[in-house]
This record gives sequence, structure tokens and C-alpha cells, in this order.
Amino acid sequence: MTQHESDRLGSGGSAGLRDRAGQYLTFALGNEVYGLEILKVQEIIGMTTVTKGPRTPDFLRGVINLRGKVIPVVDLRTKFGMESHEDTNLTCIIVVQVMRDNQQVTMGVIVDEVAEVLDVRADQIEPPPTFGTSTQTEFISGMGKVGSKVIILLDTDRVLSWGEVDAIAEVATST
Amino acid sequence: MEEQDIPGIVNSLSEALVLAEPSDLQTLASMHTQCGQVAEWARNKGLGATADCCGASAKLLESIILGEVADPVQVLGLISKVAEALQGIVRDGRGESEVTFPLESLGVGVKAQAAPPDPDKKPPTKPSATSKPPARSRRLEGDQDLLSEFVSEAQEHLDNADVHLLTIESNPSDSDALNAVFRAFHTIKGVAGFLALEDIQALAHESENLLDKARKTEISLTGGNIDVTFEAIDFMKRLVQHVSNALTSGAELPVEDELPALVTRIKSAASQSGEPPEGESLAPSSGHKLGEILVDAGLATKDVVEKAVLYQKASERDCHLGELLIREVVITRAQLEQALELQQERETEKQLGDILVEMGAARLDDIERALAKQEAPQRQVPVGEILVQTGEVDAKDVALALRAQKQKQAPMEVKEAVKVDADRLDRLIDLIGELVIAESMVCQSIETLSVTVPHLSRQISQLDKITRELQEMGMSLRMVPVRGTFQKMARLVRDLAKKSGKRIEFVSEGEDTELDKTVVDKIGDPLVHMVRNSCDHGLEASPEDRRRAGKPEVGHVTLRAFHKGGSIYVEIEDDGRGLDRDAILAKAREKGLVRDGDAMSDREVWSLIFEPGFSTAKVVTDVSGRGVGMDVVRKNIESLRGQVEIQSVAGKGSIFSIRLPLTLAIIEGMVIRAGRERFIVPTLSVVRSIQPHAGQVTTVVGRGEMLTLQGELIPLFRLHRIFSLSGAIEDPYKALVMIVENEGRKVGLMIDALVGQQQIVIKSLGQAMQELDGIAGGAIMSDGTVGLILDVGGLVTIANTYQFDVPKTDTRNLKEAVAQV
Repeated sequence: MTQHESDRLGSGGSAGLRDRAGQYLTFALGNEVYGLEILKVQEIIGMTTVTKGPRTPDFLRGVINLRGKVIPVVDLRTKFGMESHEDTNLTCIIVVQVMRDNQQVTMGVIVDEVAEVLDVRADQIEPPPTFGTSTQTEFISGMGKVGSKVIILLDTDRVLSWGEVDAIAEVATST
Repeated sequence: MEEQDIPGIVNSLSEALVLAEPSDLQTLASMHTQCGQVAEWARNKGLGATADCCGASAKLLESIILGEVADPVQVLGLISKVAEALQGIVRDGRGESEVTFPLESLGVGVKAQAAPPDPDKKPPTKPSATSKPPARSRRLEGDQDLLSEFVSEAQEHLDNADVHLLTIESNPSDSDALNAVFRAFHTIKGVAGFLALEDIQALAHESENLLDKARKTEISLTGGNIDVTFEAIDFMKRLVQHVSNALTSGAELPVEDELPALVTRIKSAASQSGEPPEGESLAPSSGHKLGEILVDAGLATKDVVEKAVLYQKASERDCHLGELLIREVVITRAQLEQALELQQERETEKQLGDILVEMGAARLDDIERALAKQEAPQRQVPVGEILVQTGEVDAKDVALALRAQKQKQAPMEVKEAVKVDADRLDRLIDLIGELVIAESMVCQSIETLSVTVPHLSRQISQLDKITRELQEMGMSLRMVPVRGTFQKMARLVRDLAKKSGKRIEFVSEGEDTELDKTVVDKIGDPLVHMVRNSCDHGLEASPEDRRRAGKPEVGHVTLRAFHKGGSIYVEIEDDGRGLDRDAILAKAREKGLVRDGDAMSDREVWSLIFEPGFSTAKVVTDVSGRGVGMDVVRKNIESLRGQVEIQSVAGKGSIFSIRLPLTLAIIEGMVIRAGRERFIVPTLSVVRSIQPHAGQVTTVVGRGEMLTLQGELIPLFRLHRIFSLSGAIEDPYKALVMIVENEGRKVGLMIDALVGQQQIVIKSLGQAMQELDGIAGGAIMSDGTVGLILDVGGLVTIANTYQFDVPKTDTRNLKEAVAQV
């Protein structure tokens, strides 16, 4: 975990933040607004039947059939430790391409509502806040301030990488 | 040509010569130009000897470039001498007479003005003939893409060549096959030359020469010559494999020491005149049989053809004089019968022939001719002739069928094919599957079904039809005929027969049967092993042994593929000794697999040979075994969801029968429900489902639950507990128990309900869920959602782990096991 922390801080300098400028797909989770790099997003689909795998962590909602391909779906609410609620007709799945072990993996992310595509300039990005060890922030690549909105920019590869998922799950069970 | 340029040119020429490699065509070419320039300058200056030497050097360079020089390094050395002399003239300002040109070696006529050799300097000696051959570059040069393309093409060519060569062996005059083999080597040679693969080029060149001579009928491709050609193909395969390995690993090409020896053998084969063909030949394994064509065309029934073939086989062994005479239309059948009756009535020792002559039915010379024929080596009577004689089929129809057979065999059916990335193909198949699901959901929806507009419902049914066809097409995309694999077996049998001195006729049937590409690829190794077994151990050790056993000397190994009941069968049949029941049992007792007094069916005994470490070689024959054992064969086949069965009759032969699913992508699945979740169990592993009666389920202290079924105790395993599913039925007498089997172990799976049975397209769950215990994979269900396929093997392992053998390290399992009790 400390390794991650130092990695993030090392790359989280101003040069790293400048790299994060670009277009983000923003979506809502509860009252918070998050952003995913648009280049990682493949498509957005409506909520569909998700098959839950037995003995899998809660945030892994299950698998869906994406036009003949079976992809895993992560419930971001559960993952971020937010209170889960019933899916609404605004709930949707953002299909993203992430790198995992140097392999491109397609997976889905369940979010409350998709908002818009925003251009975030480098000068609008600030490093992620630190709240000590009580809050996991290593999958946040920065905070974007566009107008009056504050967008939490997610590090897509990291937020959905399983290695970390396992680590979080371990932390969750041991505490 | 400017005077001041010359020193520069000469200098760069000398430098280039030091570094020059015979394979470096660009440098050679520029040296060629430089020599030409210097020659021109020298001529203008009136330096005749210099000009001649440079001219000659230019010519030599040209022949190196064209590859006409046997020892380019030696020649380059010669040219270096010229360059040395040139430098003396140009740089040091010496006269032409003060330097030495290796005129003689260059083959330039010594002219009057040429200076006599300087007494101080040694005359230029011809570089010794024993000079080292050029250190050939062992690294791969050239474009990677081109190389890998070459590898795959060459492999294809060589496989084809193998097949054609087999054809040639059985029919040396088949010029089409000969041309095909020739072309294979020719193409390989061309591309290898281009890619600077010298070994391959050299081998291909010599083989091409040999085949070319055979084409021109200067030699005949039989006996030793064909062996050499086979060897060349094998060696070429090896060389191509080296290239392929080097491509993937980046390593250098290994040096093949045996290549020169082989090349010499090929050369000597090409130089000798044709030798008499050996009598031995292998039956052609390709092409359709006349009988099949006739049956297909509806001209004859299968029975008739079979009868004719039987007759053909019978007549091969012994042919009665009477039959012969009838066939020759000397006598009629009635006359023969009459004569035979007479022979019996009179109980005379009189020969049939004499009686016939007496009767006046046949003339003496006819009989004599027939007798001679009877003595003479049997000519096999073509099936067609027999059919015509027995009056079953019209002669014209047979002729037409024969023509069809020829046409089918002749051009080897060159089909246009496009190579497609396998990923794209899978994607297409995925999408077709989705289309089928989406289409059926649209067509089956209540709204659609209530449509009353006629043209719309017509269009919907049209859409439905197209979708079905597309689905069928999609399924067939991955299917390939087993021909390629079978043809490799033909080659294998040929080699085995040569090596062991047995006479083996190899017959393959049903080569057009199509199987999933993955299955075809994976079935190769087990087949090789089984075919080898049949040839090595199955068939009697020698023709004499066979004769003693009352069988024809030529042993038969038949490989056939066919469809039956939704599966594909591949059978290997031999007419050898059959399995030795007693020997197998003795060995099994020795190994403790069987107890004395166990009553075992043949089937159980035969399946013993699949046990690990159960060497068939030591049991069934004395020939030592090799390669993978039969247990590996069975494992390979089971990994393809196939099964192996053996039928064997002592002294008559054995049939190894492999049953395989049509495709790996689709399974027959039973959909079950536990709690709110649905799962799929492969129908193959389901034994039965029961609703337990009171008293059938017992708890064993500390060992979980057991189900008593017909006196058998089966561990009972609650699916919802292991998967932590809520809302499932807890009372075992209200739930269903599905008995599943894996590798002979049975386990009861407590579930809520059976939902139904359906064909299921297997999908990988990807990395996300790959390692889920008890889940084998995912599947797209008919409603478009994903279902999870239970891994019965994994479940059985989990079940057994919980109940009998709880590893201390796995505390989670232990906890659950405790919870279960």
C-alpha cells in the first residue's frame, strides 16, 4: 500500500497532472461527480440483467453479456463504500477498456447517472487530497475544477485493477 | 572519368574488399562499378594489363553476384591482389611493370607489355582450395513478416508434398502429383533464396533437381528415390521449424550437420538411372471409392456394392475355375452347376475342366487359359466389373461413375481460401450468436406475435429464416475436415511399415468429416499414438506370423471418421492380434489395480490399459513402448470432452473408438435453480435426479451428509451453502438431488429445481472470474443473460475436501465444513 502511495506522490507532481488534462466522461454517484478518461470509455449501455458469481466480493456485481462477450461489472457505489440503493432507470453501465497485467480488459462500471463529457485543462486539475489512511484515494488521479463543479478524476486502470481490488478486500475484511 | 577520382575509387575498392561478404550484394555491386571505372581509366591511360585485370575482376564480381562461383571467398582474395597492385600504381606512382597482377589466376592473357613478375615478390599463388568456406550468417535476415509468412506457407507446401508423394508411391506415373511436389520445392527454393535461407535453398534446389529428372522420366521415383524424397521433406520441415523457432526466440539458426550428407544422397539419387520399382505399395488413401459414387448417384444400393466388394475380396484369395470360366463368358452358370452336379453324382476324381469339355460346354484351350489365369497372380477384379457382371448396374453407369471418380481425384480440388484472423472469426461467431438471441426475442415477443398485418409477419419469418442460416454458417466457419490429420497418419503408417518390415495397408474413411479446428489440432497427438500402437503392437510382428494365424500377409489399419447421434466418432481399427485379456489382468493384479476373483467385463479389462504407468508394450507385446502412454491419450481426449472405447477380439483385431463432441463451443446443459440463482450443469456429467425420501439422507458425525441410493452411499452437498446463496430450500426432502459424476466419483448436489435443458454456447469468463471454485465458465442463455456453468470436477473436489479431508491451511473451507455438520 505504501508502495502505491509513493508511486502516486512521485507521479503526482505538476508534470503528472498536466498529463491528465483532456476530456472526461462525468457521472454521478450519490452527490459526488466523478470523471473517467474518455479514451478509456468504449460505450455506455443501460442497466441489464447481471449474473452474480458465487463467492465473489460484493462490489463485483457479476457478469453481463455484451453482444456475445462476457464481461465483469463492478458496482462503484459498493466499491467506494457508499450506501447501495435500488437501480433506477438512470442507472447505467459504462463499458471501459482498462490495462491489467499489460492486457487490455473490457469491463463495466455501474454508476447512478451519466452526466456529460467535459474538457478539463491542466490548470484546472489539482492533486488528490489526502485524508490519512482512513480513506482510500489511490485510485483518484486528481481533482478537476470546471466552473463551479468539482470532479473527482479517476485513474481508470487503477480503480478497476484486480490486484488492488483484492488488497482492498483484504483491508476491508481485516478491519 | 576524372584523373583525381581514381585514387579514391581504388581506396574504397580495397576497403570494400576487406569487408566484403559474398552475401553482401550491394557492396559487390558497387565494387563491380568501381572495377569498371578503373578499367576505363587504365585503358585511356594506355595501361593495358591494368585494364584487363580490372575488367576480369569486374566479370568475376558479376559471377559472384549471380551466384555462379563455387568459392566466392577465394575469388574475392584474387581481386584483393588486383586492388593491391592498383594501389601500387595509383597511390605510390609505380609503373605498371613494377606491380604484380595475378594475371594467370584471373585468366587474362599475358600480353606483351605485361611486366614479368618481380623477382623479389613471390608470384601470386592461387589461394588454396582448402580455404575455409565462408562463415555463413546464422542469424535470420530479412523482414520478420515475410519470414513468418514463409514458414506457414512452407509448412503447408510440405504437408501437401507429403500427401502427393504418397500418391506417387502407390502410382509412380501420376504426373499431377509429381508436379505438385516439384512445385512445392520450387516455391520454397525461390522464397528461401530471397530471404537468404541458404540451407533451405540448397536442399530445395537439390530436391527440385531430383524431382525435375523424375518429371522428365529420366529417373523413376520409386524405392530408394522416394525414400530420399521423403527424407528431404522431413529435413525441410525441420529446417523450416528452425526458422520458425528462431523467429519466435530470436536465436540463431542451429547448424544441421546432416544436411550435406542428405544433399549428397539426393544428388546421387538424381544422377542414377531409374531402378526397378519395388513391388510394395500402399493403397491410395484419398479419393472416393467407386462404390460410394455409385451409391451416391443412386445407381446401386449399398447392399449390392458391399456384396460386390465381398465378392472382390473373396475372389482375391481363391478363384474357382468355374467362376473364372463364367466371368470369361465361356460357359453359363447353368452349365457350371450342371457340371458340378455331374461331378458329385459320379463321385469321380474327374476335374471340373474335363467334365466341362466332355459336356461340350467349353473347349479345351478355354479351360487351359482359365487354369493358367487361376495360377497366375490374381488380378483384382474392379468392383465395377463385378457389378456389371452380376447385372446389378448398367455398364454405362459404371463408366460414368468411373469418370466422375477420375475427375474427383485428378485436380485435387483446389479451393479458394482466405486466411482470417481467428479473433475476428470468434468475434463474428459471437455476434451471430447475439443476433440469433435478439432475433428470437423480437420474434417471440407478444407484440410481434399479435401482429396481424400479413406482409409484416411474412418479413419476420423471412428474417427468422435468414438468421437460422446465418447461425448454421457461423457454426460451420470453425469446422475443418479431418483430411489433413488423416493424411499425416498415412505417412506415419508408411514409415512404420518400412521400419518394422511389416506390410500394412492403411485405409482412411470419412476424411471429409468436419470437426472444430481446435479439436482437429488437438486430436493429432493421441491419434499418432494410437495409430502407432495399432501398427506396432496391434498387428502381428511379421508377415509370417500373420500367415500362421491364417490371415493375409498385409495387415490392415483403418482410420475412419463419421457422425453418429450428434457426436463425431474417430475409429482406429486393426486386424491384428487383439488385446490379451489374461496378460492385462495379470499386469493389473501385479500393480494392485484388480483383486483376484474380481469378475470383470471385457470393457472393464480393456479400460485398464488407460491406467497411468500401465505400459501396453510390456503387457500386450514385447515391443518397447514409446512416447505418451495410453493414460495421456485418454486425458487428451477427455480434455476435448471426448471418450475412448475399446472393442477387441483376440486374434481378430481391435477397434479404438473415440467419441468427440461436434464442437467445443456448444454443450448440452441442464439449467438448475438454487435460491434465486440459475446454474448450468453439463448434461454429460448428470447421472440422474431424485427427490429424496424420508430416511435417505443421513448425517455422518463430522462428515457431513450422505445420501443412500440403491445401497450406495453418496456424499450430499448443498449447492446454496457452498455458494452462500440465500432463499434456497433447506429441507432435503423438499429439494431435488442431482447425482453428478466426474472421473468415476459420484456426488449428490442439492438444488431447488430443474429448469430445463438447452444447448449452451460456452464463453470464457475472462480474467475477472477465471479462478472461481466450482465454476467452469459462462454461457449465453437463450434469453441473452449470462449463466454460470458448474464445474462438476471442482465441486466434487470441494465436496470431498469438506467431508473427508480438510486441509489445515484452508481455514475458510474448514469453517464451512464445520458449519455444515
